[in-house]
Amino acid sequence: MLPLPAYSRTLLQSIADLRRPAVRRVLFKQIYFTGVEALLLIVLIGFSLGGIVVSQLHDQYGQSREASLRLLADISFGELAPLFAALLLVARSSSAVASELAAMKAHGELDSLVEMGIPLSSYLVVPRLLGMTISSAALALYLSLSIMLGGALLSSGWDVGYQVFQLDRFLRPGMILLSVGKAALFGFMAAAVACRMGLVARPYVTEIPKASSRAVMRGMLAVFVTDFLCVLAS
Amino acid sequence: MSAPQTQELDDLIARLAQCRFGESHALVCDDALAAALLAALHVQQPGQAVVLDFRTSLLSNLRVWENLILPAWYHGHAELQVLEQRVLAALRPFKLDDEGIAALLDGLPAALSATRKQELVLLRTLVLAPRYVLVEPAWLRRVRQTPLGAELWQAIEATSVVLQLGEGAAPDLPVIGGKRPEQGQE
Repeated sequence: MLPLPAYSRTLLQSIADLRRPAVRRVLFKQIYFTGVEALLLIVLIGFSLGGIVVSQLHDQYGQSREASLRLLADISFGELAPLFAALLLVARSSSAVASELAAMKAHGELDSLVEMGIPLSSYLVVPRLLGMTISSAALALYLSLSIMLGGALLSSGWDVGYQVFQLDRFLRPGMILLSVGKAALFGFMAAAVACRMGLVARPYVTEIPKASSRAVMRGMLAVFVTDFLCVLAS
Repeated sequence: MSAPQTQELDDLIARLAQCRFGESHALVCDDALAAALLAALHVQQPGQAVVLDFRTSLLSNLRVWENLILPAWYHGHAELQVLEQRVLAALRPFKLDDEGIAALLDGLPAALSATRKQELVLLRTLVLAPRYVLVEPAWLRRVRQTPLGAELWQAIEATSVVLQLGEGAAPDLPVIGGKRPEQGQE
């Protein structure tokens, strides 16, 4: 069989290929699977997490609603939301991406794409990287808002409406930007690890679960190490 | 690639440029040169060449209709509406009613037989309408065993320049690149 040529595309060329509708379709599918389908799950987790953290804060620091919510906002936007969103993303999407790519490799579908002149970096990698990065940032935002809602409900009970309208007292634009930026970075790291694990897998069906498992474990490691470096840098 | 190989590749591309649709040739060169030719043709005009061999498959995570339009859509050969018309026109030899066509196009490749997948690979090539089709002779022999495969291949042959790869190429084809081994030579 003909040895396949490697179409080398620079990162910029691969990003520029997003102008092609076929590539944008892959990007939108990735955002849908990662960012939209996980929405309900993320909101429920955030809501529960907010309640749990506020109940712990009440136990430790007394019954001040304002102090609890202020602390909850700092914790959730600064740390909890980006980290939890990235971990959920790794658990849900990294394994899916890695096993999908490993399966494509095992069934010769990657070779088929190359034979048709479709570069893997443009059609498979960049849309997944970008899709997971955008989705991670969005999920962290939903998560932090639902954490605040859960916390407000637990701390205020029936007065939750009043507390929700007062949330802008605790939220600063810098805090939200930091949360979204960190989550995007974690999502990018998780996606890069998942794509790599899927593409370097050997072309056998037995390698598919191994690639999936490696993507999850190494993805989590990448997220925690990146978070640790962010803490050191701040 | 070495300088003589680059020269050989340039000569080959120049000879190919003079070929007309409907012509078939044997390409009996080494694998490295054939791979370099494929890459060069894709660089010259993306999507103008495809390879058909035992490795060629449909993508299992895309529905059949997405598979059929993928290369043409990716390379921007036509708008979706035009591609849809091309798919429907190319599906005529399948002799399916509207329901059958809808079921086939909306399905996933995993649900299809190996022969059906091969026919759809030919259909995808017809929809792309590449100028050059590089085909492995053993794969072609298998495709021609079914009447539908033979009919689809005939349609591809009429609209492309076919290059049969390697020493297994039909002996009556003119050689456009490389040299056939002498009689009795391995």
